[in-house]
Amino acid sequence: MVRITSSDSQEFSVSQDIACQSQLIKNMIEDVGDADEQPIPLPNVAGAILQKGGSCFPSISNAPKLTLFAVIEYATMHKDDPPSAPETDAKPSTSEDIEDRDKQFLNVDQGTLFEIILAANYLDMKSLLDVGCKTVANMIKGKTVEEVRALFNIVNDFTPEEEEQIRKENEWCEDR
Amino acid sequence: MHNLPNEVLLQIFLQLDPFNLAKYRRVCRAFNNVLTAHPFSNLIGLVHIGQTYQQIKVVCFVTPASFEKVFLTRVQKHVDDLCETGAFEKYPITTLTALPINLHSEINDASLYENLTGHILSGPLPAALGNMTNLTILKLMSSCVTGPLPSELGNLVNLKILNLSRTLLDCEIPDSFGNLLNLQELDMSEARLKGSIPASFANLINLIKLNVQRNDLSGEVPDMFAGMIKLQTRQWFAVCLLDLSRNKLSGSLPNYITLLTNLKLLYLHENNLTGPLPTEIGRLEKLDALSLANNKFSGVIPDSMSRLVALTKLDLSCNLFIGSIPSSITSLVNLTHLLLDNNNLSGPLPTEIGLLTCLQFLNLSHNRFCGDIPESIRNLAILQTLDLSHNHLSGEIPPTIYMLSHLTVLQLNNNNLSGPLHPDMGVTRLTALDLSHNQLTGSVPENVLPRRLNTLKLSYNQLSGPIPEFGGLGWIQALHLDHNQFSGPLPTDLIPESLESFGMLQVLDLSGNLFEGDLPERFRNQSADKQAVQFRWEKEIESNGSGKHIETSE
Repeated sequence: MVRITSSDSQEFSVSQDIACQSQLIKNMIEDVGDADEQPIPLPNVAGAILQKGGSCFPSISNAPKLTLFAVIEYATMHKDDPPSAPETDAKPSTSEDIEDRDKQFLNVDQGTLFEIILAANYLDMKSLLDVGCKTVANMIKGKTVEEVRALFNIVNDFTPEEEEQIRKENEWCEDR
Repeated sequence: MHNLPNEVLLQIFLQLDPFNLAKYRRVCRAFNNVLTAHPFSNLIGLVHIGQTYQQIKVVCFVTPASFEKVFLTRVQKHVDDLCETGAFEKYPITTLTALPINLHSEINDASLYENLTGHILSGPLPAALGNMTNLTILKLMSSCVTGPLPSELGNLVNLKILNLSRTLLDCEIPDSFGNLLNLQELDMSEARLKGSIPASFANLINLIKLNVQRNDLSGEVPDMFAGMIKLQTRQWFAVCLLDLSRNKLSGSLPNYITLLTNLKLLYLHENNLTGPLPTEIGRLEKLDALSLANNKFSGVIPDSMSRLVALTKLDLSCNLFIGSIPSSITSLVNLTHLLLDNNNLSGPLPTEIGLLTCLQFLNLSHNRFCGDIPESIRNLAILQTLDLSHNHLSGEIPPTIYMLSHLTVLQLNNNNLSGPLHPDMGVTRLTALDLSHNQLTGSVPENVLPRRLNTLKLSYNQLSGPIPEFGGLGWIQALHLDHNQFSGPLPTDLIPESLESFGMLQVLDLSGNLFEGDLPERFRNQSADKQAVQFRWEKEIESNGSGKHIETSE
């Protein structure tokens, strides 16, 4: 077992094969050697309150999100996956081919989704990052610039001149 | 979402269809920053559309090398899908011509092929283009392709024609271009190129046409045909067009250039070239046009120039040439344009100039030529423009000059010409006649002025007498009769009833003469009731409300 602590000092014990889906933790364990003694601190990953999949934690709206918990849940779900095939014969992956269980898993509010992606990025969990990014990409797909802004609550921080300049440069690909 | 770190945004964007991605630059700064940085910086140059010479349209995806294999595979799948649906066929591409792409149609997956027509290629050329080693023709002219030029283009060793003209390269020419051994035509004109012409160009032994005009190339004219000249077994000296004009090249003209005996066009104008011309320049016997204008070439015009018998256009204007026109120049019987203006040439004009009977444009102005205008000029039967102004020519204007029935522009101003105006002036087709700043005397004969004239300048002579009726000068725009000794009453047909009836006239200058009487009432002001009336009038540009302006003064 490996002990991990989140930024808010919650401690999780997970089996090594699950923890090592994170390249970051894997490297840490390899560096430290025996991981049983010291818990591994993950100061960049918030602990967890929001539970996923409706299990033991009561759902509290507006509560800080238990990202690490969610990440562990994902890692548990995928612990039996075969190691990813070498890229040479990889079928071109598109944003469509997301497994159903991952779709289910990432069927969360935007904030949580981004927290998970951030955590996956930090923890260096390629498959989770991939599936997270695909999910966001699917949300963007086919939308206009304005729709994307609205969807993600993005404030247009260009000056009108700057935006016009980009519009000009992008004439070849902009919507009419 | 825009708070996500760039690396994550990048991961997300990499999942999206590359053909629809660039538009999201406009969402916010964070998006724009990621989409304009590596690896998307080349995104705009992503799709290159080809058309073979057989008019078979080819969609060619040349993606930047910075796109990883996964991405390339995805693009490939895209192509394969389109192939399956029969949208287009895949061909081994040997020629690639850029098609303009419609600016306003969105590229979407379903109709990629149909919609691409009409877009403009833009962005930097992807290095992966260097993988298309079967290309024999690459034309990306008139596009918004930007620099830098990937040195990988030097891998396209089968290229015969490379045209990157009228692009926005704004970069140096890679040394690797010297590897394009099969290149026959290289056109990179008007492409904002900088730096010098690579010495490696000496390897381009098959080059026939080299055009890099209108760039910012500097440095010396390289010894770039040295290699070619050494290779005597090949069709050496094959170069027939060399256009290095409108750059910032300096140094002197290398002697080797006289070995390029197949040269038809040699354009070096508008550079900073110096020194004398190679004396052996006469070897270029196939030259059709030689333009060295606007440089700082000096010394005399080499006598051997007379061997360039095929020459139709010779432009040596705006240099520092000295000496006289070699009389042997008259062997250039095919010349239509002879422009030697703005030099320090001196001596008399050779009588033999009359042998150049094909001349249409003759400009010898702004030199120090002296002596008479040769009578033989009358033989230049199809001459259209004759400019001998700003010299020290003297004597009378040979009346035979007015027998040149094609002459439309005659400028003999700023010389020491004397004598009266000839009555035959009126029969020419001249539209512009400038005889000002000479010592012409006598009066202006009746009906002496050509009917089609729009500019007449007789100012600063010693012409006298009254001015005849100008009734027929319907086309006149500028009439300068000032600073002579014209006398008598003001010509009434020049002082119209109202300013609006001036017709096409823009400038009328009668000042500095001895006209008598008054200006008509309508032009008079308190200072105008003098014996000698001065009069200068200029139509102002339309932006001025009244549009007219009268000046009467002493």
